[in-house]
Amino acid sequence: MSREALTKMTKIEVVARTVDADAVRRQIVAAGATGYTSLPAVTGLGHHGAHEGRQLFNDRDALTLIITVVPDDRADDLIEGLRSLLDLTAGVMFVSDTFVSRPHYFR
Amino acid sequence: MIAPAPATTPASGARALRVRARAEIAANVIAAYYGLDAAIAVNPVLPSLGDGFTAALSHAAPAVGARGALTEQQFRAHLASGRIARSELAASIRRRSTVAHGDDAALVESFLAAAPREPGHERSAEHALSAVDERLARWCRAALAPEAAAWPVPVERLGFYRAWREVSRRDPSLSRHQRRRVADLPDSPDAALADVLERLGVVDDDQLDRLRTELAQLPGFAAYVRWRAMTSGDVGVVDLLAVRLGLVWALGEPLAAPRDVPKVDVDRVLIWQEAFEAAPHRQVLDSLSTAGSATLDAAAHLVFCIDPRSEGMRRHLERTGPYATTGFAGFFGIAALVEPLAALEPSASCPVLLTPRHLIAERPAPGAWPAAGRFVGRGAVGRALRSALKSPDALAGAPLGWAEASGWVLGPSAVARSVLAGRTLAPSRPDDPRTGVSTLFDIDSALTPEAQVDTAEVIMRTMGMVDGFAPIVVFVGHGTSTTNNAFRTALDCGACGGHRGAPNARIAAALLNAPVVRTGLAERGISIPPDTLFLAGEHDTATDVVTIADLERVPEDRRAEVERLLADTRRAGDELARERAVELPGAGSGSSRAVARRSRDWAQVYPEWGLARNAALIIGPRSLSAGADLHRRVFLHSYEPDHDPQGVALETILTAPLVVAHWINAQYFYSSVDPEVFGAGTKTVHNLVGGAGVLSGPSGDLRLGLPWQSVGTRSGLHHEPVRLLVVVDAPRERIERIVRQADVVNDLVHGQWVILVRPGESAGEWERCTAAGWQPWMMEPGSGAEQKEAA
Repeated sequence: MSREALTKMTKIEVVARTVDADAVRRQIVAAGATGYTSLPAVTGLGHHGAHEGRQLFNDRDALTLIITVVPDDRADDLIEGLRSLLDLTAGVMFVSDTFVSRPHYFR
Repeated sequence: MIAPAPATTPASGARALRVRARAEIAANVIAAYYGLDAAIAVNPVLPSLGDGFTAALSHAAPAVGARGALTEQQFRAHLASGRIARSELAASIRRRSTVAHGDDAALVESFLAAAPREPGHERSAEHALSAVDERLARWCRAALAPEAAAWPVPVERLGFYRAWREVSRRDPSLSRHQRRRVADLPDSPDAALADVLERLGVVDDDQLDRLRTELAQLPGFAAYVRWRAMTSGDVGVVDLLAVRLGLVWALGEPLAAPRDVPKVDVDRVLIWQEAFEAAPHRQVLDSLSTAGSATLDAAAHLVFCIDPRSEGMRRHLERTGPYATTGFAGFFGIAALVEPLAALEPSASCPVLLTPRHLIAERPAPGAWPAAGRFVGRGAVGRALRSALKSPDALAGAPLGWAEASGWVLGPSAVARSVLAGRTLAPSRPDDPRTGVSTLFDIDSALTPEAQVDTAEVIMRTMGMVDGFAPIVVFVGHGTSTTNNAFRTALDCGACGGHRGAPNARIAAALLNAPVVRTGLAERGISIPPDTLFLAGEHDTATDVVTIADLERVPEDRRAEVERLLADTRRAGDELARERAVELPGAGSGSSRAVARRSRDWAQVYPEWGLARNAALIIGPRSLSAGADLHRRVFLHSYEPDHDPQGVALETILTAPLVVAHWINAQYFYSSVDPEVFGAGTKTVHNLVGGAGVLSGPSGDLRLGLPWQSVGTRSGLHHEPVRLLVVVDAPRERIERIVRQADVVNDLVHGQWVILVRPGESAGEWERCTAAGWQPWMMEPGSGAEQKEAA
């Protein structure tokens, strides 16, 4: 399937501390996004060094990746809201163009 | 995409989203409060953990109008009584000052003379509620616990903020002008909040501080709303702030002023605090230095929760017979939603740090269906009866008439409960192991065979139990028998999410007895002898009775061994009950039977002391502490460093049980140093707000923390607010790696929330993990006489 058959939208990904992930998700919902995907216990290497995944008996002190897709006309407000949140707490945000096959899911 | 957003949520604009972000961060002024249905101990200033204990003294506690340590007068009283030795105070001064010279007496005198002119902070009166606070608290009571509200409010249909707006725009107690202001507010809470902030002239840069200050006025409800936002998600801090600021705007009241707390001399408080901690910490380390050796060739091996109350039972049991004991987090590695047979719904029976990974239901054993049916039926009848008795309370005007009509029936019952004082109470909780119905936990439906082996391996390796198995191994959870006690779940097992520990113990035992698990473990290098039998039990911490569950399934030829064990637990329990009775108000030198009776007395406000006086956590082999009397003040987590060369088990212990132990320690600490703000006040004037919490009297803020009867008596504090001493028997490098890599451990250790030490090169020497590397941890000599005098 070529990209022409798809609908262009904006994908926003946030890596945040698990304790802050709820605030990110609420921000996404408040901005009118129709959903999100949340990946707990993500691992990687970043500004604060290596982050291991979930501790064996502790899911809380880890990182979570939250992904959402919104129509372009709703993206700027959400980006602004998330930036305000990430200005005040740890976490990073990635914004990119994306193409979806079922646009009505995201409106 | 998953988790679709509610269809009714309108999209908020950038301005509202910016305000929402600040509100979310402002909520960090207080930690979430978990309510009473499953009371979880938590550090009330947990969001500031990363800033350290010192910052909590100077900022986090004062932000909600609280003290972060005892007052100067309280510390001075401890010095006068000898509880703080002058030598300890002098040593503390020397540690924190590079210019401290002279002998102990001179140092102490000079320190005392330098006291601030207004030592400490005494509140002259209770914090008076403003008109805004009063109305907001009233709305919170109605909206957050609607089952307890006098009038129904449309919160379920409209949400917290919109329901308030709908009700308030018609509220006759508001003027027409005020009602119009409410009606003019936007429909969505974040837009309303942004709107009011703008109308009140609060510019962007000031909004975060402003919102923190507003939330700090009623920290109890703010903390509870945080928890609801984390769990049901039906209300959030934005809703709470929108109603609060909406009230400010509608009533024309001024914005809240920051809470009035005098500036804290942090260095001085830390000197006092360290001097105060020296004696109990040294007592623990002294005990370890002279400890005996662990039991070899045990007749049975009992695995208890790390809870300090288990320490007493373990000590007495080891003295009673050839028994080995181990300490492990009391959920025994079973991170599950557990559904007892007669429960209405499953509950998360694992630490709140964990998300339950399985749903495990209790089912009647083959042939036990009729008895199970009767047991479930009795529970349903009891609930229906309670509901029928309570329902008139919800109808306006009915309670008085109902009391007139039913008093002649309920009166004798009340008299009987008072006169008999708990002599006849039968187990009624669905998770009580003494229900008399033969049941099984359905682990096969919840976990694949592979998952069962994985779980069992984690349990055994984290405990360091990989060889040398005793013929009987018992997982002993704990719970409490107490009646008419709103804070009952605070006395149950914290590792089981504020529930009884028996279900987890039974699941763990069933797992370890399963042939498929034994085979799988053997393939992974853990060979459990075929004649090793795993059992489950529960220590009732109010009565010191140990119950063994599922006795009907013990093979005939093993019953005598189990009977001997039970008899020895009874002897150990009797000894422990007598030991505890000395500290329980009014119990004198009461027998174990008397202690049990008072636990079921509906007028008894001191059924047990819970985890009061907790002071340390020991992570190491039992040989480190065996034989020591640690006075039920120490969390004990077993750890075998030789069985854990990669440090996986230690990392698990430091990132979970240590965290839970700190939360408990911090809850007792803050409930003691500022019972007015961080504590729940006296039980005698509590009014329940559904399962949310309690109020002191008829109105006001939801009370945080522990009631006064958990930390003190009329004579003063029973709990000693000291930070947790954490003794870790492991190589330096292993500890350092975990502290470096795990943020939460780093925050606890380098933020000085805990004092982490390990054994030094020679016996009796200890070294402390600090940001500047390992430092010798001095055991201050020369104060023995003063300490003995104080004792």
